[in-house]
Amino acid sequence: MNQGMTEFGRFAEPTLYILVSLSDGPKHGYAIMTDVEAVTGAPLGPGTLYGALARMERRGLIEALEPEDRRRPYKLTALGVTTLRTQLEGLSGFTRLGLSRLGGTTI
Amino acid sequence: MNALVRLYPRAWRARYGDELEDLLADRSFGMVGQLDLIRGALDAHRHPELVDPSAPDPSATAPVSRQRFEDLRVARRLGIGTLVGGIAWIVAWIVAANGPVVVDGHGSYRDGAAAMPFLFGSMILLSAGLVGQLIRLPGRAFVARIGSFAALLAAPLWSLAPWVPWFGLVLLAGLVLLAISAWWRGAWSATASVAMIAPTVSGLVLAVVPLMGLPPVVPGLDPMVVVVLSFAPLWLVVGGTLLALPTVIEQDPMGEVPSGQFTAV
Repeated sequence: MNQGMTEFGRFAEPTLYILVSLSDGPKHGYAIMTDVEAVTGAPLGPGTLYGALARMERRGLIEALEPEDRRRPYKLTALGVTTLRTQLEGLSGFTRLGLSRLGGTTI
Repeated sequence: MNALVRLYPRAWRARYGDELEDLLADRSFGMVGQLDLIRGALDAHRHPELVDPSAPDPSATAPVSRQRFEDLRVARRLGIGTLVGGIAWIVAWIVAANGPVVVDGHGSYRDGAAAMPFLFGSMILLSAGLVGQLIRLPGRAFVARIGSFAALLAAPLWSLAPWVPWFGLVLLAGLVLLAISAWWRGAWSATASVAMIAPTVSGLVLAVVPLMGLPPVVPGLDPMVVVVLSFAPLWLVVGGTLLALPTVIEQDPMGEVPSGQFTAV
């Protein structure tokens, strides 16, 4: 399910959040952070955010655009889109499996 | 500039510094955020390749030259010897604990002289592993190499005079230095470094406390047993980190290493 993200180590989960955040268009660091916080309910630390962004950029999942003032927006690359799709499909399959096994179980 | 941003490497700041400063100006982060920044700075120092394409990736299993491969095979053999040394270390203390009871003017005690060859052998084999570390560690792990060198000299000296604590302390300090720096430079995993540091430091504390006349941390626990069990992982880590070999030799017409000559990294 998480294949392809293992090389990100502790940054795997933030990476997935950032990929989802960028899936509806380019965003800069602050916008990514507030978006992820709104979606997950937990803030993304600044060190974690930029550690993940640096790894994603190096792996070619995202691309930096021209800076606007001091803010530099990022957008998904084709590889980033493919990776996100693969991850979400894996999670979706996992969710379906879990729900089907859970069935009508009541406690 | 935010003081914590200064903790990041220069190259990293040149690439991401402005953005990070802007982010920090827009929003205040509590203690957790500050700690996250410090952790991020440590990570940036450990992974210069993130912003510098010319920096080697410490996690990469890059192809090596034929000569380097042969050197690593030598280090691997030394590592196997070190693992055997770990067994000799345990045997030494078993022999010492079962030595004959001697009664003289100073009272009664167990004569552990029969254990000396095993103790010496275990330390020589630990030193052999540290020579292997000198061979294997990359040049950038300079501090780790110094730690290895100091420890490999102190180990046999300590075995010849185990009642002199300074040799033992230099040995342990060298090993801790090796573990921290090798991890910092990406040559060792965090697991290997913690496996070296945690038992060394905790074993040292548990063993030294009763010797200083203080009540033992764990009442009823024999300090000798503490020393034996807590220091045994040293051989395991020093030897174990030498076993893996690269799987690809560069500029080799045969490409991959013949099977049986390597262990997957």
